[in-house]
Amino acid sequence: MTKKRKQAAIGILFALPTLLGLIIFKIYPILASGFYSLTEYHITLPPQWIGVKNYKNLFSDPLFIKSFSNTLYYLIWLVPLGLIVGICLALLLVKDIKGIGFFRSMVYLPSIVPIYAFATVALWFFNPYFGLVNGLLARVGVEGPLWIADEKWVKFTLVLVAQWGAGPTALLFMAGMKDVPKELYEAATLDGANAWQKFWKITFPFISPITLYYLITSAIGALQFFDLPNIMTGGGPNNASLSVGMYIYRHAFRYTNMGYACAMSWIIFIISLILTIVLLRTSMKWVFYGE
Amino acid sequence: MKKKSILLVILLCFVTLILAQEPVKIIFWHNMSNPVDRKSIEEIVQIFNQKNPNIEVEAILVPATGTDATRLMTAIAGGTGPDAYYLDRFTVAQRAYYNQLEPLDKYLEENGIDVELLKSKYVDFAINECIWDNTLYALPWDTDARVLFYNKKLFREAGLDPEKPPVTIEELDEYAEKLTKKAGNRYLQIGFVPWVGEGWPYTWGWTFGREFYDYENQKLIFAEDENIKESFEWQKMYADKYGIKEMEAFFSAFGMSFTGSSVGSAAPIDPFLNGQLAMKVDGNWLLAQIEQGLAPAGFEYGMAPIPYPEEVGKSTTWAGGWSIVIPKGAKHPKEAAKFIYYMATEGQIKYAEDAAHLPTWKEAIPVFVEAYPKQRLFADLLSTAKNRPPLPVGALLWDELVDARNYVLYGEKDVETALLDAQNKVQQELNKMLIR
Repeated sequence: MTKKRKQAAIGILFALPTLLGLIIFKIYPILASGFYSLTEYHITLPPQWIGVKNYKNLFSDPLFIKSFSNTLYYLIWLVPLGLIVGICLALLLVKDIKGIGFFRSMVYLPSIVPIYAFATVALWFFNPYFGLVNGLLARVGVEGPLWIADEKWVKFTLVLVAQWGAGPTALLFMAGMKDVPKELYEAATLDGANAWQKFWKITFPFISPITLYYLITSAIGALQFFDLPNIMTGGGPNNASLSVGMYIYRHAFRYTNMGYACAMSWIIFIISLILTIVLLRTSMKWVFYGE
Repeated sequence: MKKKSILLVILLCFVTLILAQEPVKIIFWHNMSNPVDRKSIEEIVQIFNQKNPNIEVEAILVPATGTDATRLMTAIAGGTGPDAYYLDRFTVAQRAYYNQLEPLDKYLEENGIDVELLKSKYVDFAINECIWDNTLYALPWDTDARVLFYNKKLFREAGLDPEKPPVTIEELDEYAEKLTKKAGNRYLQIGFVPWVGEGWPYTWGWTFGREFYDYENQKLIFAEDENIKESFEWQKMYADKYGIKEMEAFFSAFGMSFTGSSVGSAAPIDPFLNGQLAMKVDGNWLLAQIEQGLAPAGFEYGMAPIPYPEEVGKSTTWAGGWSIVIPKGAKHPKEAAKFIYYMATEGQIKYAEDAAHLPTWKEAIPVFVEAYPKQRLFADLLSTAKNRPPLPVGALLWDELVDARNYVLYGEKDVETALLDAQNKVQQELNKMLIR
């Protein structure tokens, strides 16, 4: 018994750094931000309790509503588009052709470029007059839109640009596809199944756990979308690309309005939580974990 | 034996003397990354260090923009802040209100400096921005001023006299039309756009002759002011007349949005220096950029006071600039105050000469004008220049005014509603602070 207890103590001792890290750097800040969201707090002055006033004010703040609807737009577009691009790339990369290793690294490469460098390059791609995209469109006789300079196009442009980072997702899906036993495809071919049937009935069930993982992480990522719009548009034109993440930053560090910023963070946190729970609950129906 | 011990004692004394004389170390954060400005600041710090062997100042370049001082905030909260900090002057009141600054007057007095006399040696608006709640929190550093820049070559091409820039708003509108060239739907050249460059809501509000804030009653008053409303209507007229869509296409090619703000963090190309925008309101730093070779060879430009509405009868401008403060919790505030005093007085003379920034210390202004005769126009404007109201909601007020203007330009709100919404929002924040 004492030996077991000793072992447990040693185990806890080994886990202690991680546990402490989790408590001090994750759990405490989360709880503290919850408290601050109920106060008027400016970092260098003591917080003042104001109840749910910050939350009430949020819903009459036109910029919060605008940034919130922008964020929903990002969520609705980024998640499915990233899924389609990721799976399509994976379907190409899983083929065993000569030199596939080269293509796999090429697809991954954009993700290791620092986001700042990559966003600056993207800015030039989408420049309406001198940009590569509109240059190519002009060759086929299409007059391209103004992309990030146009209120109506800016969000979609950012969603397109974000697909540059599809490499890691594609590699994950590819790894999942590699695990599919070859015999299943052979049997399906003998039974006369077409390519779509093979994908839907064989490949997809095998990659469904990865899909679940992708949906959860990318939905959270989309709700926190910050770096690309911040570097490429600064939220403009006319706040058309302002995400909640950027609005939180603006309140926290420009106006030192921490309480208000914390309230916004909590709203995003609660939405993330609900989305994750819904995805996990429904996953029993469509995720296949093997026999 | 005796000799030896005496020697030892002397040696010991020496060591303790050296240890006692270990200079106090002052950390100074600034954000002037431009090589010319940076070099000048470092040289001033060197001179100060030589003159004051008991203090050693170390200047560290810490990037930050005017209203975003994230690093300073976290450093103060964590007790690891610098002893002296380079702060956008119009945010001094805000930082002071939030208890992020040490009162500077107290520490200047500890150094035996007559604060009242010192205050009188600065240009009025600059020192006023450094005061909150009757306490001096900063000493002014440089300043700037805004005028109308125009392209003389384009004036000639359009049949206008290059030595006669527009004086009134009416003339400005007329010239703008003459200087605009269009091919089909696409602008090849635009005469003037009010909000590009330094044509901020403040610029035009003051140009139309009115104030944004009533100091006596501590109330924001711009939304009820007919002239300020008119200045917004006038800007809206440009958006309607020249077309948002077409202007958007024109400006986006330069990497900037149609409202004049740069798109993303890449610095936009200046359409004025490129010869495609004939006139714009901008600050005296543009002059330095032209001199440094950012304009093409043979670029001919002129400068004139900002045009004003006929009935107002005189031109006006406004000035901003930087200041130096002691952040809360500084380890050596007394020595920091001594350093700031040196920077803001003698240091300003050298900085004005080296870096072509307008000084705020009155004694430095003649030196500056002598070194840069072209900048005389700006120096002359300083005595009547306006400044943004030094309020703890300064950054919010600025952003709300710009947002209000954009709502108007994009036609999402009419002038009346846009201004009233902005005013109510900022006043509400301000009231919270005034009660305390």
